[in-house]
Amino acid sequence: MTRRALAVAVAVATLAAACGQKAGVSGSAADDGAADTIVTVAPTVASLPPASVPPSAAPSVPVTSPATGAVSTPATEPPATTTPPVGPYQPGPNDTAGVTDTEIVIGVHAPVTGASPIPQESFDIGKDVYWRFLADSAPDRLYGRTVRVVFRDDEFNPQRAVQVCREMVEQDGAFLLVGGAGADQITACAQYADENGIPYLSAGVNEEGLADLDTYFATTVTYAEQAPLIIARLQELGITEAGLVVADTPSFGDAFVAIKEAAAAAGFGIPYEQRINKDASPAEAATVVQALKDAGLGAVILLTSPVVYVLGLAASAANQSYAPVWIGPGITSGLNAVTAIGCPNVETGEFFSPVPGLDVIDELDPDFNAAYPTYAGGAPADDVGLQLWALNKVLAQMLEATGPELGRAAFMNTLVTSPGFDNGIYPPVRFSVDDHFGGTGAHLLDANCDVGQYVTAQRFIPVPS
Amino acid sequence: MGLLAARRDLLIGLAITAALVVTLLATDEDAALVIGVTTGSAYGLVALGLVLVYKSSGVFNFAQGEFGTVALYVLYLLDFEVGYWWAFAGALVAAGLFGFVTERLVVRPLFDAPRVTLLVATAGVALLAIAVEIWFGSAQGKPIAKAFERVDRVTVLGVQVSDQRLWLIATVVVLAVLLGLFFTRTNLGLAIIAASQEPTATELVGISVRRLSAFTWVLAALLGGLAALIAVPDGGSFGPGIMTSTYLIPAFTGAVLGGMTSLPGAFLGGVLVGIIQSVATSAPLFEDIPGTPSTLVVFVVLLAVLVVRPQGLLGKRA
Repeated sequence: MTRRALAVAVAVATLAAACGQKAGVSGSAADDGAADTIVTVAPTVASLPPASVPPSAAPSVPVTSPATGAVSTPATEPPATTTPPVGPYQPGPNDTAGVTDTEIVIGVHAPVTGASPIPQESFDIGKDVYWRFLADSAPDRLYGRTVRVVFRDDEFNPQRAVQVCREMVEQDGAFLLVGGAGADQITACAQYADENGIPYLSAGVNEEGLADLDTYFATTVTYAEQAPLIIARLQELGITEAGLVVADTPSFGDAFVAIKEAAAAAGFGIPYEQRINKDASPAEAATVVQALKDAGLGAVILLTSPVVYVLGLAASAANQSYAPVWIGPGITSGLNAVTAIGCPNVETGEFFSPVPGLDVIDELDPDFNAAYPTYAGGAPADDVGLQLWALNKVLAQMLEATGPELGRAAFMNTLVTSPGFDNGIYPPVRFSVDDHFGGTGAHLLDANCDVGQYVTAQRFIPVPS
Repeated sequence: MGLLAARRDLLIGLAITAALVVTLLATDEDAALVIGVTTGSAYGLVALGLVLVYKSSGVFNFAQGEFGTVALYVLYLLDFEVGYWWAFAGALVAAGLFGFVTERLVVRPLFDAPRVTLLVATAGVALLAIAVEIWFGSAQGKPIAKAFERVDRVTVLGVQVSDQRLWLIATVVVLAVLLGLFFTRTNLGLAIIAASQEPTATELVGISVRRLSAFTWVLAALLGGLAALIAVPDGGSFGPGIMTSTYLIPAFTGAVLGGMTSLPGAFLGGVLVGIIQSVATSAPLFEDIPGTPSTLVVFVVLLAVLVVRPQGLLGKRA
């Protein structure tokens, strides 16, 4: 009897806990009237002219020309005005979760283990180097607050990504979430964030599954937006047709279509297309490569994980003495980890990237190489560190622009009403109420196996508007 | 009677092979045939190790892949120090040692436990090995050298077969035959079979079942090591758990397809899986299958074979 009573008590307690409001999570639409769901963007609000944005929101972040390579001035003094920006987002009960007078907590997830890992050590070191640099060089820029980064490995698994995002919000009290890499994981976690009113930022990946999310913001161009750049680059190389190999995951569906549409619009041929298994077997990879070779294609447009690219496609091509130009959108295939293990098979690879190669970073942001070893415990600067530095730098501009009254709604209102953010490394980032894909261009990286890393082939290539 | 059954199984294997070859050639899928054989040989070599353990102990060994991955790490480390072939030998020794330690620390204490307990235990060994590999060398891939660099010496039906792949095919064919002979023509081989079927009776005639178990696990680990050391370098790099994530499931499928008790069947099954994956990727027939047809078709074929011949293509009925 006692045991039964205990079981009932545990069940009731569990149910009660499940129904209760978790720390850091906004109420759902099904909650009572006080719930803090994102207000649907009303046409009247969406059409607000830029002039309706309070002065504090935008002018604090100067937008500079990428051509000059100038970096936004690190403000050592906080802006004078403190009025929260006006916009479509309304604060809820957990609006300021993760923010105190002295600290902002940011949750970051990325795959550092699993099928397609990015270098763990580099990520661990690089995740807060910029924030430490900022705390020393401009301590007042975030209104007396420092940023604490919490990181979780999502293991290249979307279910795991949701789990770790939930942990970072509910246990670590993250104010906002950042996706480091991996389209499926970013999509899964962004949907969780949207359901709970939490701002979520990542580099641009897919648009499908993310375009309708109110709290999602892509800081760089998406795969689909890069499609015209890819076709233009191939035409620039004198190539008139290419194969198209895209991983068979729903997240890449929009890019697959966009690339074919861009090719059709430019009169560019795609005589062979293949959706390949996300974890393609050696036999599948070899078969695809054989078909590409038999079709006589001098270039392959690629959107797969680096593992499939390096271990499968590029290796199989080398075994067939076949060396096409591998070109594609994305971030991970353009990381130096690919050249480190894939050379010489990936020598002909070219990938677009939100950041340039390490070979030109001194011209764009002299602080990076100078500060990195100091704030990274002596570790040398690398491209993963640069990706994180650039992301955090633009994030700092966004937090600064929001003003001292930092809350989730105010932060997102700032993003959609500001004229733009330019960190000197990314092409300028511009959001609007209707468009949360803020990237405006990309750099082009070219694999150089002589130096064992990607070098910058072209900088600040704008996407066609 | 046994001889007749053996000849019948051989005929079945030959008939299937001939039918497959003719079909693929007739449907312009000749490249898939070559690719299937070259990649499927790696599955076949892993499958040999799986069948070896299964024949001797009735256990599905989930650690078979990691015997190979550990060998790759040793090859990677030693290659810088002592030269390729010494490193290769050292890697094989490491794989054998891993098999021996697994037998001593995991299999032997569970010798009388239900087979499912041993199955779970081998899965635990695999997961532990992957965790140690990540801890030891990070999750990042590492480059690995091939024994033979040349890729264009032999071209079959328009597909180049690298020297490394030729070595793999030769190795797996020779080993399948040698192991087949070992289990049917040598006292030690027969003793291993006897120990798996009647352990008490085997002990009664003076054969140490436990010693045989150690021998079998070391041999299986050497096969796993060999598979990894020959097949993986063709891709140029490797990472933690690569043999489990890339080769183990196709090898299991190949072993079941060929018959879990037949060593030549393991080879044939592995090659069949490679061919099916390749054909399902390239043949127009499968273009309209949503998702990734290669995975689906492999399991449809497996299911069909098991419905018709539950013991697998070359396996013996229990």
